Amino acid sequence: MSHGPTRRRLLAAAITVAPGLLLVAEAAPRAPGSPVTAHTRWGLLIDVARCNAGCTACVDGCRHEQGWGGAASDGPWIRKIEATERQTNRSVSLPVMCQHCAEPPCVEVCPTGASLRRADGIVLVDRHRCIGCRYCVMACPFDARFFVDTEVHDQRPYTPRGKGTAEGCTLCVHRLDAGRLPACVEACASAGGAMLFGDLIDPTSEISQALRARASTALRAELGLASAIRYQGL
Amino acid sequence: MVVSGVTLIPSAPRIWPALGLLLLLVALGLASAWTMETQGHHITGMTNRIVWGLPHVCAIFLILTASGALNVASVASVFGRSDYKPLAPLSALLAIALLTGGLAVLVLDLGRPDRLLVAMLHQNPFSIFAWNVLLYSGFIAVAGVYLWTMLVRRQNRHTAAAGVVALVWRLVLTTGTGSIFGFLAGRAAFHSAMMAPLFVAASLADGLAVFMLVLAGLAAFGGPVPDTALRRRLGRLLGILTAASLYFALVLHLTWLYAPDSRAVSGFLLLHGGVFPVLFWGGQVVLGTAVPLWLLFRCAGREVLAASLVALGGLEQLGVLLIGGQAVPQSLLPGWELHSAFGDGSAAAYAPSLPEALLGVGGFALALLLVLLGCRLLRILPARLSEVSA
Amino acid sequence: MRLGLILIALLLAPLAVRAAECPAPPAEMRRIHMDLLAHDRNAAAREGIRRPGHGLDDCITCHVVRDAGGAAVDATNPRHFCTSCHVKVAVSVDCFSCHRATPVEAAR
Repeated sequence: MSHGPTRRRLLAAAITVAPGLLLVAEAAPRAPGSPVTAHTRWGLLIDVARCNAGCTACVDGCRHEQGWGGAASDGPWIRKIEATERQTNRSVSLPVMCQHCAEPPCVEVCPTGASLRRADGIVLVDRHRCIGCRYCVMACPFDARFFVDTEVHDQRPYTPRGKGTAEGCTLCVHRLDAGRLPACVEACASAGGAMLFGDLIDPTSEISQALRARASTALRAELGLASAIRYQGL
Repeated sequence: MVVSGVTLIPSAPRIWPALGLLLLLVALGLASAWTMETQGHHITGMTNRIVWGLPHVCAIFLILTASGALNVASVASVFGRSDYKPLAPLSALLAIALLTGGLAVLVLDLGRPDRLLVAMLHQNPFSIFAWNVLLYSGFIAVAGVYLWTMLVRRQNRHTAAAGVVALVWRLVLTTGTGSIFGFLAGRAAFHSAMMAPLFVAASLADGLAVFMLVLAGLAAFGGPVPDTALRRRLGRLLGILTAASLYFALVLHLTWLYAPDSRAVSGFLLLHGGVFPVLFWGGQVVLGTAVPLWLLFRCAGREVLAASLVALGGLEQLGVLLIGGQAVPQSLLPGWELHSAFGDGSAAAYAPSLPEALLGVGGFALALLLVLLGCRLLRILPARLSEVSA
Repeated sequence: MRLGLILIALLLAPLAVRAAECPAPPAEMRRIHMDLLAHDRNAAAREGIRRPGHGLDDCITCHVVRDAGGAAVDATNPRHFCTSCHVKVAVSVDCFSCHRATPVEAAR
């Protein structure tokens, strides 16, 4: 899995300025007109110990960036779940969005290939091909794929959304392609600092080092989907 | 051995009012689909938790019964029971009609039915759904050829071969339909190899029940009246198939109940899931299986009532399976109690709206309309059914 | 005379700028815009290839039509750049069922 450093487009490491405070540098933008490659796989490490119950900074940031939430029936591209372990009564709060699986069930089941996994691991809906069958929504083990059931107006120019098609977290591809961080990560940085974003393939990236050093897990790891979103402290 | 069928006579009583009523229901279904497409699915009871609702229950019921409606034709041409042969053309016509009705509902419920061409041009070879599109359209073609070999005297010699292809095709088709759910590894209430045989058994029972109902119904429009012996024979077959269908459902639940992590699924569907346990015990078990079995094996001459109950129970079974299966909350963190604004950790609610109900009913009406038209235009029905029992 | 030329030049200036910014000359754009859009949308959505000046948002930003009050008109308005022509040739546009049909500054 090692690639030459010149081929690597890495997210510059998050710099620890003071304990508990993360300043996150921006990702390097890709040259215009070039396709994404499998030399990068974007991922997130979420530290639930730093994720505060009741804090919805990531959700608000996402909603503002992507423009969902105008209709009551809009699915939450990212949502906060409060969880209590039955045996121990330990409570945690965690954000859940598309887990950008390496082997996404939504992509497998999609009859037209509208559900797709980009070379850099981001799972998307190509709305041009979506016929609105909702099989991807059925197949998602995380309830993170949604169906738009109302007319949408004034979409963000970079995030088309439309009645009758499926949608979900894009990991802010439009930002990543321009070398910026996902909106939830940016919002979280100034709230709890629980999200660490970066390239899972590059062994020198902050997230790769963190994943090597600390115990983390994927949601529903037993399904073997190899999610790009990892959780620490569950 | 040659089937000499007749068409329903145009002067048959009630045929025109019946056609008119069915046309009206089809029109209402189309209008509902149009409303759902232009307004968006928010006017239905379907949500981001219950993504497939009543239209899908109706569509999948129609598709399963399409496969099962071929029972009589298969018994005649594959298993060589010549006494069923006069009814084989109706069996094939009904299969085509039911599948067309089911497919129409599925397509019209899509968020973007206008993009059907996209689904034809781009197919994901790994999608069970894409396989099923091929299985469904292929089924119509196979059953069509099968019917043709029966109706055209010169082609009768190919009927047996076409019958074998149709039998294999419909078993694959119901396996594929069950696998739409059975292959969903992430959904505890669906993921099971048992789904395929369960759907096959349900299709055999429900399809035969619908066939018996349609045969009885056609008698009202001048179709042949099956005699007691034939009705009893069909009834016994129906009883066995209905019991088999319940058997698979019970094994599935026993498997879930045995393991702690899946116990919640059965607990929900069998005990505390609100309307779903009522539909399962009251609908599928008592009304859909126990009562029909008692009627079929203990009371003579109640085959039509029994068939109605079996069909109704089959519809309820699919309702519990599909909608109940989605209502069960997904366990994102096993062993944890979950709460969120999206409803994580709690059961999803579903209240069907009028448009989606009318769309489902429209599918049934389309199927019956095609049967009536087919019987009117083609020599589908035997002149008399007394020869059947000979 | 000179004033007339300047006036004409001023009038034609937006067209010239527009022609320069389109991926191809207007006559060609009329014929091939749908192929360009279809090709680039697949490349952008599926492979992340974003070509500056080739996105639908570039088209609608440049070709914006404003009403008397200065607000950009939506695709439902017959004066909208895309709609004006597509209505005439009776070809429906599917783009705006998901994409916005107006530049973003008009909406905010």
